[in-house]
Amino acid sequence: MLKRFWQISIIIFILSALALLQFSLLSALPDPFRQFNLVLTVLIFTVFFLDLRLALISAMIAGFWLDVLSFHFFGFYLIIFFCILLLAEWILKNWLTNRSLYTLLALMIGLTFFYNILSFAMLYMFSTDFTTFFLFKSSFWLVLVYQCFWSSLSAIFLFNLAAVVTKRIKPFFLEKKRFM
Amino acid sequence: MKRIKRNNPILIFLVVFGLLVFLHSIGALRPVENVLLGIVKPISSRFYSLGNVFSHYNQDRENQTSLSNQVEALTSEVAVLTVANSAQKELVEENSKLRKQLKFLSDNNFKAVAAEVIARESISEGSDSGQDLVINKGARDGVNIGQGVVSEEGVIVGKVIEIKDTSAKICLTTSPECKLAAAIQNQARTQGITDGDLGLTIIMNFIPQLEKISAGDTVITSGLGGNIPRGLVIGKVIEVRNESNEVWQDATIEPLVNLNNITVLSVIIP
Repeated sequence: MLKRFWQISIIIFILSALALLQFSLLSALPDPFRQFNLVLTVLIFTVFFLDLRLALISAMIAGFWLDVLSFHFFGFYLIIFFCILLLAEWILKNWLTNRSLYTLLALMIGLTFFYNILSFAMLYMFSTDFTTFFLFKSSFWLVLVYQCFWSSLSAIFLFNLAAVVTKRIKPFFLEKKRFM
Repeated sequence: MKRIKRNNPILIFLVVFGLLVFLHSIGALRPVENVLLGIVKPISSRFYSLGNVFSHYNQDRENQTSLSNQVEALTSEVAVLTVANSAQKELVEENSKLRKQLKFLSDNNFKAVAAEVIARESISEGSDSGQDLVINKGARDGVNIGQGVVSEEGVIVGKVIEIKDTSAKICLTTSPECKLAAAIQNQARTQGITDGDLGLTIIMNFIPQLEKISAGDTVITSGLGGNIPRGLVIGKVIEVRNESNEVWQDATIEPLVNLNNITVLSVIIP
């Protein structure tokens, strides 16, 4: 029981710190550094290597913090992270069933694209400025390119880091016995 | 028929999400949010300063076109390293900024609330066309929508566009849709509205063709239609565009302070 309490406390602390880093530190950086979506990367990484339950708990904590801190409508981040994780789980169960670097790369880039589409669409829906649809804005595509770059980079880094720590992603080969 | 498990994480998430949104909409979550914001505000402010130091350093590196710029960059690098290594020096710097601000405010008899920037928020998620600042003072401190925000030098840098109990969002004068009632300090005292342009400069539109404006003229707030007092400097005119066949002319204004390096500012309470 006490172990579980500590586990949850550590998860809350880490996710809160990540949300705070995303909100204050990364936002103050110049382009392209500030386009690195730390929370999204961690959530995708969690659903890829661990499980959906932990990823959803993480999304709840980080999403709540970002919703409290930011000036978007409350629930903006929570709903986006929820949709992202559901899509990730569906893709991992039906399409990208193995755990390779290419899978993680494809997942990261695909979900970064979906995250941007979803967040821009939601902001566009709730915005009063309907002058230009977000898909026709150069800034949208520029942000997407930056974010995909960071996602790919973090996927490579995290995958190799995970390969050192765990044996789960190491390939195994069936040895054929030679009969005389 | 497929039964939904009670401990289904998706179901739990949706229930908690619904509960949070409901509690937030009726305001029951507000005390919790305020406590949490109170706890993280000092940390946010430090994180922002750290990011800003890096941003400043990066900006200086990009501008290394001449030897003097290199010297400046190295000087600022030394300053950055010194500041990073010594929390005390940062406090001294912050103190002097606040003193400067206090002097400006007392000289002009303005009532103001000093605030620290805790984050930057893009106008449209990640957009580079303009950015808003989030400060650590809100409705509880007397901050209200439409109030002007000045830098340590007394230059108006933006206005409050959204507020929460303990934080507020500010649009910068260079951000699109951040409009200010302005006047040019020329003979005719030309009046108009300034608007941000791509997050870089300020544009003053709809100036009658007959008004004489020239590069170098100072642009100030006109004090019309809002909570911003008259006489706060917005910037200097750097370019005037007037076509003989047009009814209006417009001017490009350059802000007097670097809006990328703001960490401390004051909200003017009218």
